[in-house]
Amino acid sequence: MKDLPRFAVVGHPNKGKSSIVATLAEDDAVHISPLPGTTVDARSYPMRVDGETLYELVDTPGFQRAREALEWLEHHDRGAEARPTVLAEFVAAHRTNPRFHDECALLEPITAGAGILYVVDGAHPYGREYEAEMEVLRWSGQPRMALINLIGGGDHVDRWRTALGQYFAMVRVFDAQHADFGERIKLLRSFGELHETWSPPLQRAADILVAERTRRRELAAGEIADLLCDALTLVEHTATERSAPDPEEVLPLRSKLERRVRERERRERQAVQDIYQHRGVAREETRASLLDVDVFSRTAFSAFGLSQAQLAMTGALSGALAAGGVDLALGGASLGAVTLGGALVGGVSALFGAHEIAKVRVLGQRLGGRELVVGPIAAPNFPWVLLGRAVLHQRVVAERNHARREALVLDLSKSSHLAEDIDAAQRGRLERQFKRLRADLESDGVARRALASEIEPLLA
Amino acid sequence: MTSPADDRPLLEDAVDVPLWLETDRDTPLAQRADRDRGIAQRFPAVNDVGRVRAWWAALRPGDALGASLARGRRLVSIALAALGLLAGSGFAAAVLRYDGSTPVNVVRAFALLVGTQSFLLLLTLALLPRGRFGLRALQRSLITLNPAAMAAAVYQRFAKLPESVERLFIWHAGRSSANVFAKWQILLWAQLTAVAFNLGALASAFALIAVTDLAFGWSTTLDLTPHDVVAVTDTISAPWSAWLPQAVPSYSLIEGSRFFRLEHVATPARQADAFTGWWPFLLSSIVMYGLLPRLVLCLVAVQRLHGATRNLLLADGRVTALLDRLRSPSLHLGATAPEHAREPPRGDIARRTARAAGPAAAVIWAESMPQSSAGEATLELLSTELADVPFLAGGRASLTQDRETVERIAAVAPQQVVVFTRAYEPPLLELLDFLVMLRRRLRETVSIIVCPLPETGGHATAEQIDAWRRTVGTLRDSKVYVETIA
Repeated sequence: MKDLPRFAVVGHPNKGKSSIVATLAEDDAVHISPLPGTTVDARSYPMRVDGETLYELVDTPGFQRAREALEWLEHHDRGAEARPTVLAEFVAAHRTNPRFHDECALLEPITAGAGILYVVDGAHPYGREYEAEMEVLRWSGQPRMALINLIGGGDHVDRWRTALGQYFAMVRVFDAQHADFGERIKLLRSFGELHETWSPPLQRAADILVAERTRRRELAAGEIADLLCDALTLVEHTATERSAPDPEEVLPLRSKLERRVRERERRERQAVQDIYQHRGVAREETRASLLDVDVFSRTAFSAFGLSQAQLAMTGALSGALAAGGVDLALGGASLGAVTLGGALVGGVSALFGAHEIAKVRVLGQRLGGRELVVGPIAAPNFPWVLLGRAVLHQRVVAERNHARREALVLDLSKSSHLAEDIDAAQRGRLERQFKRLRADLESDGVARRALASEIEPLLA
Repeated sequence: MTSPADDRPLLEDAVDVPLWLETDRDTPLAQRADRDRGIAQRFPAVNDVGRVRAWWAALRPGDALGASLARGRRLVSIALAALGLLAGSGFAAAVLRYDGSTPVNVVRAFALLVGTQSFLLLLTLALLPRGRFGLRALQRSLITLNPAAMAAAVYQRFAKLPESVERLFIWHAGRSSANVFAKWQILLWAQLTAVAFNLGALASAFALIAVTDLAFGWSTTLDLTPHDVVAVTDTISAPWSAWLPQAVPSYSLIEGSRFFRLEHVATPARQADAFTGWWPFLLSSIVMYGLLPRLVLCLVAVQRLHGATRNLLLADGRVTALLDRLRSPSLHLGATAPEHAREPPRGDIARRTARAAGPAAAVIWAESMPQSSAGEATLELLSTELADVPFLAGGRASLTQDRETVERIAAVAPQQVVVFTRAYEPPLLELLDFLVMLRRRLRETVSIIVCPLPETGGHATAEQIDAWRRTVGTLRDSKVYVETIA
């Protein structure tokens, strides 16, 4: 795999090597510590697509004794053409020496052919003590790029640029903590400039990541659409003996409904974070008020799912059919009078005898009874609140860098005006989808897809 | 590798796959993506249903709810078919009841065996279009009257199905995929019952005709002439008149088989043909207007039910996401091996209790400050005459210079040495090497004070100082301190 682009991310300890790797490899499990020297061994982060490796990053420990290593190299110098060999000899000679453990770990992939990504912190001043390690890297003769990371608020980029330009073919500024997706892709493509054979696989890798980004947005839109489909059709019900809603019965149902909405939201958040490889990131978000919840009591005949009106209609039709048989038997002599009478008798008895029918038990099951129904949540703003929160969360998650370790904090005040921020036509289309969901109290793949396609343009 | 053989009903997978995917939600997406894409590559399929089913065949833990549901569905189908057969044969036997006194009235038999069915068929057709306005209300009432809908309701009630699955057996004229499934399942059951009913009626009628001597005649209160009846029967018989002419009543049959109940009906040998010639017409009518339309509807329902089941599977949001994982290349960016992070240094640093007097030296490590500022900083740390303090460089280009610095400090024989460093740079092992080298050349009582300095205009953070204390503390030298200046 000589042509496989492989990059060793090297440099001083604590200058953001692991942050850069975490960002490019979308791995928020990479150990990032403010204490120096926590990275012990070189660790590989390949980008694999269906098992095929397109490029590989190698995170390494930082230089600890660069001047001593350089002293050894200079002592064994046999001319410029032999310097890569001398460097390899250094690694071979000290591989088992704990004194140069970190130097060997970081130089080993380079002597095996990896390109060099040298990381410095542009927020702090340049220092001459870096020159020894840059010189050691120059001895490798490998393609080299310097990345100026920014840890903190200082700006010493220009001085760094001047110094690094003398040792590296390319110098780029890359803020590992705050770089967005576009900057990541741009950086990845620029790696290809280091070596002509590395360019095609790196361009392909970048294209795949761009396509993956689109796919993730579609998946996230689907998750948000699912949330809305579910939350807008949620109801809670319980059997009741009372004819009017009683607050004592309503409150627990309302709480249960609220819990279900929150649990559904939690699941959506987790799914979206999972899509963007932020599964383990903690989340701090305030609770949304569910505003008004419709509460009403209705009679339902649970065994067959019939409403009282349906039961009356059924009774009427049954009566008509039965009596129609009598009409038929009379050879039409009754001119349908019996049918009409049957319909009336059937309908009226079903209408007024509904409660009596409800008490009848068949195989131990009651045919029906009164039930208290809480929901669906009727507040006109409810879907917009849900959508606004979900969109805000997706935007924050999609832009969040994998080098960051703090909890995800959602400022929900920014989410409340989503309906005002989008154009009238789209607002109208979304409102129609919400209405349809609320009217049908059910959703299917078509409704979900339609809603998802409306949501997708709102996402990052 | 080819897809695993799969002869299970599609319904099983349409039920089990979404339920299983729900339990699979907690598996990290990356794991799910790898697993699912791996299966998709091993078992390529030509369409989405095939993809999902091949995936499920590879993962399926065993028979689940879908299998029992499919069994239940078969059971309901068999029960309804049996019910239809029984009802059809019983109904035909009742309609064709003949005690020898009065012939079976063809008008009434036709009305009951064909007319009623045609009416019910019309009601069934009213259920097919998507319900709008008044039609939806009518559909809802018709649904509740439908024996297949009742059977479905009883089944879902007593099978104790989970909420997400019981929706498959409740048809309430909605538009969701579950509702469309319920519609076609119930319609299929209804057609199955009707087909069985017609077969039962035909079998019963044929048996009565074959083993008894049924006499048919026609009678009506309406003022109809045989010519009128011929016109009606010719119209009814039109579909089969070309290839089954014996099943088309002739004028002589119609004229000769009319009877009035008030008359005594004599059946001389000459008139026997007239009273037995109606049965081919009656049976053909049942086949043409009862059995065939139901068979056609049954086939339509089978085909639509298959589509609805397919849609039930593919329209589910979880299955859509699964398909995306099956189709999309598996992308892996993370590490291939677990990380072994080094434990942070845990050295402990004692605090200097008092400032010592006497000779001192200062090292400016790695150009951490200009020499012009070093005097002022030193005074903050040491009680000594500044004029006697040599300010030396360390940590610069070469180790040779560090060694020279150590020798020059040793020559001063100081009581205390200050090493100025940059607080924002991490303490490297080469600095610790320098401190060790320094200690070797100085007495054990000499204090070595490492002073991490902030960037000009800034301040050293507690985190930075903590890193310095922890690292320098690993030297276990009780006379090495880490101190800061304001």
